[in-house]
Amino acid sequence: MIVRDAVAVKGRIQIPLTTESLSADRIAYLDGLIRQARTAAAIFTQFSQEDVDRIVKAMVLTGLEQAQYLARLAVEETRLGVMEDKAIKNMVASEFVYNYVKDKRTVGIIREIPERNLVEMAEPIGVLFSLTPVTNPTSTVLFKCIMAIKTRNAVVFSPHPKAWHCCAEAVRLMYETAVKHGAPEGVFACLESPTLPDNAYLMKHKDVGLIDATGGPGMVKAAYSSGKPALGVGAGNTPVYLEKTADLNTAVVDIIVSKTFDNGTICASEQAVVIDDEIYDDVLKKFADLGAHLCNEKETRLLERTVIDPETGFMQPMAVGQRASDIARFAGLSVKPDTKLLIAPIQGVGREHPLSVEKLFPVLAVYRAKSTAEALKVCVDVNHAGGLGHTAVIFSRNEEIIRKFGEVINAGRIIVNSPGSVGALGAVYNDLVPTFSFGCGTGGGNSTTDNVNIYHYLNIKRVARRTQNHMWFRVPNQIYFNMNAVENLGQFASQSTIIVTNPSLERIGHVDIVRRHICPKTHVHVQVIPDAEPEVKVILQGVEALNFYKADQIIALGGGSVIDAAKIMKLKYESPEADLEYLAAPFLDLRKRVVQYPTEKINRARLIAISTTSGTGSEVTPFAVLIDKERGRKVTLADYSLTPDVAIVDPQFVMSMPKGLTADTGIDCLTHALEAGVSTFASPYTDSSAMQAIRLVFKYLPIAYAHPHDEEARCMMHNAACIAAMAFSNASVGLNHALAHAFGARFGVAHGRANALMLPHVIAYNASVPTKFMPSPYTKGYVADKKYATVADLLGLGGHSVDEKVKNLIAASEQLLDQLEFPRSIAELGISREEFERAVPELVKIACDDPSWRSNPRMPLMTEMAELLWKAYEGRGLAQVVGAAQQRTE
Amino acid sequence: MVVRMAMIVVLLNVNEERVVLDLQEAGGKLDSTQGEVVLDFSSVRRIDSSALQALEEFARIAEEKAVKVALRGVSVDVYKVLKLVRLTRRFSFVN
Repeated sequence: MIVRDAVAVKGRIQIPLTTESLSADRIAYLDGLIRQARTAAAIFTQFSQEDVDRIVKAMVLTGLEQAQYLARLAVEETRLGVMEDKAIKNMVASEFVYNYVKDKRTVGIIREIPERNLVEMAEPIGVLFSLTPVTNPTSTVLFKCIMAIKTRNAVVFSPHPKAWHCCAEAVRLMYETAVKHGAPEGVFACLESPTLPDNAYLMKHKDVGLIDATGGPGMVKAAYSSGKPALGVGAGNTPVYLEKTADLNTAVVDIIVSKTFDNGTICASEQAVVIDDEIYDDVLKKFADLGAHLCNEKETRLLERTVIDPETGFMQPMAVGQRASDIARFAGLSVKPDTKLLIAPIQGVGREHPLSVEKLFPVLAVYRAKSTAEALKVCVDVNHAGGLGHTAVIFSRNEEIIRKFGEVINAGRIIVNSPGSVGALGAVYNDLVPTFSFGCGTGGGNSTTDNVNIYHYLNIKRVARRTQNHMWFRVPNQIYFNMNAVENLGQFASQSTIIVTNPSLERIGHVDIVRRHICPKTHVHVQVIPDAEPEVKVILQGVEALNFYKADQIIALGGGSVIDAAKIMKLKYESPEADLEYLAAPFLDLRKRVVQYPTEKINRARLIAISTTSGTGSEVTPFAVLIDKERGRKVTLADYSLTPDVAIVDPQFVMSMPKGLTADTGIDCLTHALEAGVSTFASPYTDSSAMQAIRLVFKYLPIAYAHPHDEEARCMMHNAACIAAMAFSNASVGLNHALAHAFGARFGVAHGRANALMLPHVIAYNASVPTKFMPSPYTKGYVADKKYATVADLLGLGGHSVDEKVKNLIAASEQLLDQLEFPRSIAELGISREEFERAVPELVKIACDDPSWRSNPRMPLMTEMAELLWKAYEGRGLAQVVGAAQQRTE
Repeated sequence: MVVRMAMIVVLLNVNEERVVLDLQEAGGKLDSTQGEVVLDFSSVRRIDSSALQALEEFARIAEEKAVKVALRGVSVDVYKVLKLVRLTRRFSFVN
């Protein structure tokens, strides 16, 4: 029978969020319901998993026992749908939902993820305000009650007014069972005579934790507009693609099952079937054979006028949930009495094709598609005509087309080769989570595309324990050191070797020494490059030579610049596509960096680095610096694939180093070690290297400086540089380097010298209580000052407290700098105060952009960087005035 | 000069099995001369709605008679319930 009064089933009405018409008594009533629910929810927090599972099971059994009764009440009251089907829905809402939730943990710890050191815990929401629809009234209530108890929440229900009695009865049955089995009193309540102002008031009530609105778009929009967290699920318009490879018998039966189920009231049911041309006639015949009536053009027009509101373009509420034969009669169509379905052809989608919209009754639009492309486009059109985010169906055996359908259709549920409505409910035809609320995603104005379930009724808390991320200590496979270590070159077989070096080293005979030790019968070519930081042009020339000679071995003989150049030549030789600019992209954590270095190589060449200075340690580091003159910038490359394969640390190549270079490189080495020692990436592995390097520098650098021919001192300083580099290759450096890079580049001061000017000030700075701490998952507490104290102990500097030891270390550093005859202030370099003052803002900016400080133990503020630069300008006397103790007592 | 007022502190045990009765009984005996009443909840591991009602009623009577009420030994689970129903503000808590 036709329901003649206009039920706002999927009302496109705007729900007024106004409470003005509520009387004081009504407000007191509503407040009372919420207070009662709040108390129940509070008491519920004390319940265990076993408590709630026991109650849920009892409720489910009640739901199953009362399924027929509640279905009958619903049909009698709403005059929508089919009693038998509503009973099945009630049973699904009970039994199938129970089957899904019964073993799920919803109290306390609900999931443990040991590999991520994470534990998830459940926190109930408290009070839910729940709207239930007229189309699926009692099943929705059963479903929500079971979910609420499982998650220890209380619910105040506001059923659709046209389904109030059956919903109130369902709530009563669930409530009585729940309380009988121990649930807190007041855990469910059903609003008496609910009105829109009631809903508006409760949607905004301070004690409502979540609105769960299952209903039409108007109600859903009102819920989302309330300012409260909301689960709003709403209308659909399910397109079905019946593709030519489908099993047609299954498809036709499934569509009839689905579209006639509860007279089409489930919003996931099929609305328009797009059928491939080749099978169209066959499919329609099968529909007709199974009891569908195929409308001719005239009947289609009559049907449109009856079931679609010409003003709004939406379905007529009076048709919702009615039988096909009743709808036909009302439209003036002559059909068989047992007609299951009315099928009406459409030629397109949109307002001019009225039946292309959602129809929650057994009227199905069909479209004849000439091609797969056309079929998919029409399905997209239907999907976008009110069904975004909801449900779509495809019948096909063509996996490629199924995949494409899934790709182009925006639906939370894409049902394959099974009925849309019963399929979308979950757990019957597929493994979707059973539900009576379909999330429609942002396309449908919802917050989720999920089948709403218990996890939407919980606040899930993540207990995240501190994770000890893995660290690393990566150095070359082979390091040969001490006098004549170069002899080891002979063990490396090679057909063609290129020696990369610079003119001065060739001139003083170092290249000849190397040549003598290369494996006999090796073709050797010497690539001489300028004695400066490598330029792109130089690299490309080197790569050309490598290709020309088909080199299988590169020997880098020189200081940092030569070794860096060789590293980049090797990279470009092995992987010509490597884009140096791209590879130089900044990163924070090596393991998470965005840019990956190439792993595919067209050539292979062994890189042997022989260092001729005792400072940079480039022979063991994964870094390389390149000057891009065209762009006027420095490109720093960092990746362990750049690390040389073999390092040779032979002091014979540094015996003739001039005094100034000895001092500069020696202090660079000390700065590497000190910064690696307090770095946020420091580890016991890097500490051991850093500490040893510091000890060697303090002992041997003054000797190497004062007595350049002292073989032991040269040897130990050469080792110290390499050892310090192993430390900072893995722990990185810090603020000292960031400031020195900026200052050195701006004023043309050698790197080691620039480091020396900053060093005592940066030690004092890092040893003080930070203004801003640096996030540092690898350290426990702030340890920089203590690590400096350990250095002081290692050097035997004395001192009782950490502060004293830090002061002693600063004093010893200053003494070392004096021994090396370093200028002890920037002013001493002849840089005027005015010039320096003008430069400081830019120096700070450049230092800020320098990645070196990111592993500094203390987060440097820009103002602090400027202060440090000024302290370096002023210079000496630091140990007397700066110290951790002083700052701590301020 | 500071004059210390003599304050009578009454200690009452609340038994989990009979929270409502204990509170009703204690409420009936509340006297405005009592400066403070301490309700010992050490044995109460779980609280239900009738107990909450009784506690709320006790707080009302105490407020009327200007008697301060302290709850002692409240477990964190029960404390959370009191927090959720906004009852904590009506009592002080001692461990």
